[in-house]
Formats: sequence, structure tokens, C-alpha cells
Amino acid sequence: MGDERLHYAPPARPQVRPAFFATLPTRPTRWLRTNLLWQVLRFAVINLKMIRLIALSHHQGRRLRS
Amino acid sequence: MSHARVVVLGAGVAGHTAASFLKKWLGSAAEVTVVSPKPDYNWIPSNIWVGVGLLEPRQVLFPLAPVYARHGIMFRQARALVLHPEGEGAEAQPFVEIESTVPGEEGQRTRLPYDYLVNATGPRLDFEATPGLGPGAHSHSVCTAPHAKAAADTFLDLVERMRRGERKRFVVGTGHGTCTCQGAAFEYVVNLEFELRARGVRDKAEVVYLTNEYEVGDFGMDAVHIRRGGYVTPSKVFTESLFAERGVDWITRAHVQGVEPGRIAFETLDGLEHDIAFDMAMLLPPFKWVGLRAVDRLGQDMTARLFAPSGFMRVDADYSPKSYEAFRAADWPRTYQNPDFPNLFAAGIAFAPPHPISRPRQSPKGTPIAPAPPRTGMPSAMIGKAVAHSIADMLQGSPGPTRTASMAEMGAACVASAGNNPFTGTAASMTVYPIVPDYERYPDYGRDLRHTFGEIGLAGHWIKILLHHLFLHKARLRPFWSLIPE
Ligand SMILES: Cc1cc2nc3c(=O)[nH]c(=O)nc-3n(C[C@H](O)[C@H](O)[C@H](O)COP(=O)(O)OP(=O)(O)OC[C@H]3O[C@@H](n4cnc5c(N)ncnc54)[C@H](O)[C@@H]3O)c2cc1C
Repeated sequence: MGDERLHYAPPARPQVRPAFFATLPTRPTRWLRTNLLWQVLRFAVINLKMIRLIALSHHQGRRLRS
Repeated sequence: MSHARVVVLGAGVAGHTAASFLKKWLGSAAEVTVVSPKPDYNWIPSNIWVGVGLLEPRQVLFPLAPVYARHGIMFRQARALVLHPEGEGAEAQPFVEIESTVPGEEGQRTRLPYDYLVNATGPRLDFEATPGLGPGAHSHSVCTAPHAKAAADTFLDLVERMRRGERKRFVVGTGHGTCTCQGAAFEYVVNLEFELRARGVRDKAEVVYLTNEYEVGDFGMDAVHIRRGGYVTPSKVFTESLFAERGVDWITRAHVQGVEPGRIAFETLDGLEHDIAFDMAMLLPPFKWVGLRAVDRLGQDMTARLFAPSGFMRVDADYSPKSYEAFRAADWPRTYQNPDFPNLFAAGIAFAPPHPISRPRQSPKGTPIAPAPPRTGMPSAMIGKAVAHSIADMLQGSPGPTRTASMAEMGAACVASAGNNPFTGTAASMTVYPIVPDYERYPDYGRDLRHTFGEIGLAGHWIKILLHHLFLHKARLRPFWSLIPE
């Protein structure tokens, strides 16, 4: 590994971190992510969405000949 | 129907699913034999938690022989070496040559005749593609339970040193420009970061994600778009947000050229060469074919006829070379039947995809830096089940395969753990439909945005725990196993 390589160094200022240009969640968004009541509801919703997707995928897995 | 012989090579998600359904549907009408070099089944997705010391390997592994014995499936602990799809000489009976891996019997070769064969041998972890990569050399992996355990040992040792005040750098990602399975590297980096916080040493650690993706969140699927907050947003935004929130830095478009003790050399898509020092690196290897060969009835090698240049098995896909712009959803296989031998099928990672999903890219030096197409657990299992159905029907008189499971017609549900705790943990839950974008049906993004969604929260973590137990229950073929969806 020659010396002409660029050596990675931790970004010295926040502005040069890739994270500086990322979208960050606000405090209420973060709070909702672990709020038990909201998450119980989301648990049901996500499960339903996944079941719908599984049903759709199985439906697409068509019979070619009967 | 006389006593038919169906041989399944591989006992991973695809092979185990195929064998279980074949036996369930065919009962005593067929002898179903599974060949796999390892005595255990590994629920691979939970290796992530083994890799940060939260689970022991025995919690993600179980021995296959007793499960198969209970269900009347024959098990041969062996490695498949050579397919003889035309038989040998005047004897037209197809067979596969296998080599025992049972301790004390290693290397003993036998011939296993078959009427139908399912190749579900998965990938060979190609650490050799990158000098210094892998558990035998200078980096870690979480692809198998023992690899994940070794990663955990290093991780926990470094945590102890950070408790004594040392600073450490963790680099997690892909160990070659053509790697796939970025979802696993993503899960590992966010779990590792979560555990550093949980163990009170986050301030002593620097965590860097190093990937061959053009943008984070590509996942080998050319990114995913979802509707959220009044916008159609690419997965890059959510992935970057997750990393930024956790203080994880990222380097994209990277091909790892080599790993030395404590140092990774890599080239980026712009042709520049870099290196990064590390205290622990977990870098996934590229996937390669397992080395199965094929021989015709005269003993001549016919590997190139059965297998694509990548080494994975040819099935009913359109393999004609084309440009990215000409990739079509219809190129992807539907029945997984080999075009030359109707009694040969490939399922899961073992089938040759017609082309990548993500846009292929090369550096000015000609180094390919783009993810290979992923074949995750759900499609692998669905393909295994469709193949089993087709074979069962063909044995009962159908002239050809009866079921399809195209990755361009099915969706995938994926839950990526981002921290394992029943109250403070989170996971990114995602559904994508279809897996392979279909720009003819969905011209804007290639996907149906009504069925493509993603969100982060504790609920996803509960689903991940539920899946861990449900899928292990299913894999152990315990009561009502077949009711659990793939
Ligand atoms: C760390 C990690 C985390 C992951 N997490 C997820 C996740 O959360 N969700 C998800 O959907 N997917 C996940 N995946 C991907 C998922 O594990 C794969 O899609 C799936 O295992 C593919 O199934 P398969 O049956 O094709 O291959 P495998 O599961 O690899 O099985 C291959 C089988 O073939 C056997 N074999 C190998 N060589 C031979 C031979 N010569 N002869 C006979 N048998 C042979 C092997 O021993 C094994 O039993 C993850 C992968 C990794 C590495």
C-alpha cells in the first residue's frame, strides 16, 4: 500500500462530515419511535402491510398449468 | 407414480423449504434426500446479534438430522461435487457425486441417483477475492455463526479496552466492489453502534460504514422509493438519516483492494486510492458459486452448459448480454427450471441472475464497483416452495413446472434491526414490491409505491424478535410449521 494513497481521517468539523447533509429526525419523531402506545399501533399496521405484501406475492406466484 | 427420488442440494433457506414441502406434499410417494456439508441449520439473519455478543451460536443453530428423521426426509452430511445429468455411459440414470463431511468419513465419495434435483447450494463466501479479507486473515464476517462469534469476541475485547480509556475505530461494510447483501452490513453497523452506547463506551468509538453502493440505501436493488411526509423519498435519505443520527460516518463507491492488520486499502469509483486504519473491521465477502461441476454421459465436462460464467446455475432467465437501459423485469426467471434438463432446478442464491439490479459502474481503472443482485430470505424461501410445488405436480403427471416465483413479480419484507432492546431498540421495517424493478408496469420508480414502504421504530424490533422465533419454529418443522408464511 503506497504512500500516494489518501489517508482517511475523522472529519475535523461537522460541515465536512457526510452527516451534515443528511436529514435528521426531530425530537417528536424520535419520541414516537419508542413510544409504547404508538408502537403497539404501528406493530399492527406494519404486520398488516407485510401480510398484504405476502398475499400479493403469493397471488403473483401463478399456476402455469392446472 | 413409483417411488421417485428427489435430491435437494443445500439445507439453507431455499433447500430446507423445498425439501420440507416436497416431503409434505409427496409423502411416501417420494424419497426426499437433503445433502448439506454442515450438520446444522443456521438462521442466518440472527447472526447479526451473535456478532455483537447478544446471542450464542447455539441460539441460531440446530442439528438437522433429528428434524429430518422425524419427518421422513433422508439427510446426507456431504458436499455435492459433480452433477451427471445424463447419467454415465449406457446407464441414463442421472446422479450426483457427493463427498462426505462426517468426521472420520471425510472425503468418502458416493453417487446419489435422482429423478429430480434441486440445486440450493447458496454462495461460497469468496474471501480470497480480496487479499487479507476474512476471519482467516485480518477482518471479520457475520456470514456464519462461528464467524459471528469470532466477531463478537473481538468486539467485546475492544469494549473492555475502551472502558479503560482507549479509543477505537470500527469499520463495517463490504469487502469487495462486487459484494451483495449490504442489508446485513447495514444491520451489523447499527447494532454495533447501539451496543457501544448500551455498554457506555460510545464516546470512545468511531464507527465508519464502507460500502460499494453508489449511495447508501441502494442495497443492490437500485435503491427503493417510498412516499413519506409529502414526498417520494429515496432510501438514501432514510439510511443517511439513520447513520447521521447515530454518528456513523460513511464512505460509498468503494472497492476494497486489500486488508492488512489494522489497515484497509480501497479504490473509489473516481479512481482515487485511499486507506483507512481500523481496530476492528467486519467486511462481507463477495459471493461465488460453490464449485459444482457437471459432466456428460461420456465423462466430458459440461459445466459451462449448466452453469452461467458466474458459476451459478442457468435457469429459465434471459441471459443475453444487455445494457443497463435494456434490463427488463421479464428477463428474470419464473420457474427456475434448467433449460436443458427439465428435472433440474435451482433455488435461492444458487440460480444465476440474468443481470444486476443496481446500475453497473466501473472506475476509470476498469474496477467494477456496484452491488451484485441480492437474493434475500423471503424470495429464497418462496422460490424453494414454488420449485417444490412444480416438482410435486410433475411427479403427478404435469408436463412441466406449474408454479412461478419471479423476483420481478414478488415483493420482499425486510426488517433490519437497529438495536436489540425490548423498550429502547428499534428496527427499520421495509416492504418492496416488486424486488426487481419493473419499469414497464411502474414507469416512474419501477415499483408500486402502494406496497413499498419503510419506517423506523420499536415495533419493527418486536417484529424482528417474532420472526426469529417464528422462522426457527418453522425451520424445526414443529406443529403448524407450514402455515407460517415464507
Ligand atoms: C449476516 C446475514 C444477515 C442476513 N439477514 C437477512 C435478513 O434479515 N433477511 C433476509 O431476508 N435475508 C437475510 N440475509 C440473506 C439470507 O441469509 C439469504 O438470502 C439466504 O440464506 C439464502 O438462502 P439459500 O438457501 O440460497 O442459501 P444458504 O442459506 O446460504 O444455504 C446454502 C446451503 O447450501 C449448503 N451447501 C454449500 N455448498 C454445498 C455443496 N457443495 N453441496 C451441498 N450443499 C452445499 C450450505 O451448507 C447451506 O446449507 C442475510 C445474510 C447474511 C449473510
